[in-house]
Amino acid sequence: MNTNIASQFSGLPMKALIGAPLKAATDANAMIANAQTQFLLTTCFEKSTDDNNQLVPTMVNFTLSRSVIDKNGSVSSSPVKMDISIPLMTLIPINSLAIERLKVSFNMEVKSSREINKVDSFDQQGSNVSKVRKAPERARGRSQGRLHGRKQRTAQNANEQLTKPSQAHEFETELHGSLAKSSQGELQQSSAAHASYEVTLEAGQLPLPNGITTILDIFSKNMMPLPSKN
Amino acid sequence: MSIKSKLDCPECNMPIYFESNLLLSGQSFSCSNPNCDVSIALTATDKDVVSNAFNKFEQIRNNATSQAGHHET
Repeated sequence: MNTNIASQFSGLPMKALIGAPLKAATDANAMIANAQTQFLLTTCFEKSTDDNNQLVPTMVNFTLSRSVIDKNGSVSSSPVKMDISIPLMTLIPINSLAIERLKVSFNMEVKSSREINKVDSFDQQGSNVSKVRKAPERARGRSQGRLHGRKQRTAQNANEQLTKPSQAHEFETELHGSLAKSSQGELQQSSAAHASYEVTLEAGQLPLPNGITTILDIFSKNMMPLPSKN
Repeated sequence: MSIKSKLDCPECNMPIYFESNLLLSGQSFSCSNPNCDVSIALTATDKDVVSNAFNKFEQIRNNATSQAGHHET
């Protein structure tokens, strides 16, 4: 486990992580500006009939209605309608064609954990019961486990002894034994490391070029309504 | 998709707010100045020109937002 968590970030391509989205945004803005220029030149302007190399703004006609005061000094009941020719360019919200905000949020978490879980269990249990009872007329033996053979031999010896009348007698031996062993162990080890890194970039809205602003101002200030023919 | 925009009032230079869909449908829009009773409406003869311009503008905006990886809904 590396103790220096900050070194985990040393291999990160931060330049690409931060710069790539910013470059993509600027490329997008450049593409927007180019498309916007083409849009203005092809849609909002048209070639002059007099000079083919000269562009004149495309005009669209609106009907303007306004109330007027008649000769009696009161507001006329029927509004006066006038024609007004407006450059098409002034209708389009050109300044909205830009990326307003760019936020790059990069978050990284390095986490390392190690866990060792070891369980040892040991259980052993044994029991022995041995009982040997010997009478002169009969012999009986019961044994379990290791003691069985030994006691069996004891019984056999007793039987052999029965063949000798002078040594015949009654005896009973009972042996109980038990052994139990239990063992359980557990080892657990865990470690975690956490580190975060966050980068935030914001790019504001691109301002409208001065040339376009000037053209829009000129157009706006020179819109004069003309009375309708009818 | 409707585009919200504005133009300056020829009388008082206050903004006249409009939406492209309503403008193309022939609806009139009044000046935001309460003391100005001017209202304007697009003539039917120039409807196609304005509609074409708004469609191209919308297309440029969609291309830009898709390249930036962000779509406004």
